[in-house]
Amino acid sequence: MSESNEDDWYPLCGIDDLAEGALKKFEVNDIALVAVRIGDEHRAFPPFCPHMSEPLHESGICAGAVLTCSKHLWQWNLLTGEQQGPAEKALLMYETSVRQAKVWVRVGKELVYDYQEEDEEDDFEW
Amino acid sequence: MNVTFLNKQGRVNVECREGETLLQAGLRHGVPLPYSCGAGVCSTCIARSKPGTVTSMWPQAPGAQNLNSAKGECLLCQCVPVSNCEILVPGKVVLTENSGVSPQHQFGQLVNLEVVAPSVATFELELDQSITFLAGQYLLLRLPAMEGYRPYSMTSFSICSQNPTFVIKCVPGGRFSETLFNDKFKAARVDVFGPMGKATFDPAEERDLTCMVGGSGIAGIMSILRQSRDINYFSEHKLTMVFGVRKPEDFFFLDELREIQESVPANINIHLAVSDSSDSNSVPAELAGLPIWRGFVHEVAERVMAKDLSGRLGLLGGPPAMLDGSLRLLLSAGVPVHDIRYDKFG
Repeated sequence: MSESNEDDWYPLCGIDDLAEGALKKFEVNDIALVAVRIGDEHRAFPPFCPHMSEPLHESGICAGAVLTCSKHLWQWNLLTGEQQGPAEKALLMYETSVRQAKVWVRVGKELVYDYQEEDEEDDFEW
Repeated sequence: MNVTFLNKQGRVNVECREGETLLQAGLRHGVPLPYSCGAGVCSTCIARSKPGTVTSMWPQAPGAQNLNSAKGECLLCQCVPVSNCEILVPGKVVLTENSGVSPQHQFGQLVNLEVVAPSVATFELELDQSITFLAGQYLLLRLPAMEGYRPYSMTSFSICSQNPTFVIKCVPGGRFSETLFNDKFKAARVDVFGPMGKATFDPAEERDLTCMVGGSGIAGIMSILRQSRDINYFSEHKLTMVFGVRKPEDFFFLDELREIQESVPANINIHLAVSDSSDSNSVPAELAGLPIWRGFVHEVAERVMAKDLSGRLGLLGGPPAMLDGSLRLLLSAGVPVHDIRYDKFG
């Protein structure tokens, strides 16, 4: 998708293009992301599980506003990105909005997880 | 050799025997290491090591394909130490809290192989020492010269057993199963480690059950059903179950399932599912007195047990696609993840 707008906002899809609870992968500004609709709300997030990098558009299961990665059952509240249950990390989120019958997403810089937890664990005495 | 498992929450030192994996050494000492399959498939036991301190017994393990070697990532279930080493275990597990269970090494002899369906057989393991296990658990088995262990769930249940039984599907190219099916097993002593697995069931939980199983994935559920039958558990609790295979001739254990069904018909509903419906005329309405439906396990389960999912304990066993479909059904029905149990072997 090449159409761009001010402040890194890009049109993602039409408001009717996302089925309720269905995870759909997009590429915006050369950055891959997954989008989902929960009622009238839309959410967009990196396409990988923050646990072990599973592709969430394949491993993710939406039930209401709860996203579960089927690999190890990490879960998040899709409305807030907060982890719940056994999950230990929050879901990173891109901003979204609805304008002119389109879903827009703000993708300036790619959101990435640090799977190796370097900031927390690399200070060990090895 | 000495292995130190460490993370933010603490560190613990254990002795690791020659040829023993890091996971086995830790579990044998009660260290609550993360794992699921114990056999190189699921990637749950990813950890980090210093360069050159560990080596993998099975570098081609499916679960090892996405490891970041530059970061020293390794699978605890596949790696053995080549020197004293430190292993960084990710996550918030408190390594110093003893799990209270200690799987052990021993040897056994495979006996009484019986083919029960095309490509499916049952067998018994004569262990050198009896083991105590929970219904739903598995043992890691390794034939001589095999690259790594393979997980097999017990189908039997006994508080203390020296002769657990198993069910195995003959997988083309699968060294363990092909060896069994080629009848070479009689001469083989098997390296055994266990019991393992967290997809267990305790009757004291007093829960109604839903079970969704495919093929030989029924193994651990059979152990649970046999324990439940022996203590008349279903006189007070409900069971709804779907057991699926590809074709009608692929079913096994049906006589026993029918007996379980007939033991408390008011509380037990067991359904069969066949996924290959290319010849629809070949699918009877019932088999061994149990109703057959066409479709995948989760599809049939949605039809026959949609009202029975809420509030129950969900027990799953089978290949990855079946697990994913069943998981999706349970989660969509609002079943919390702590009420869903399975080990991901595929």
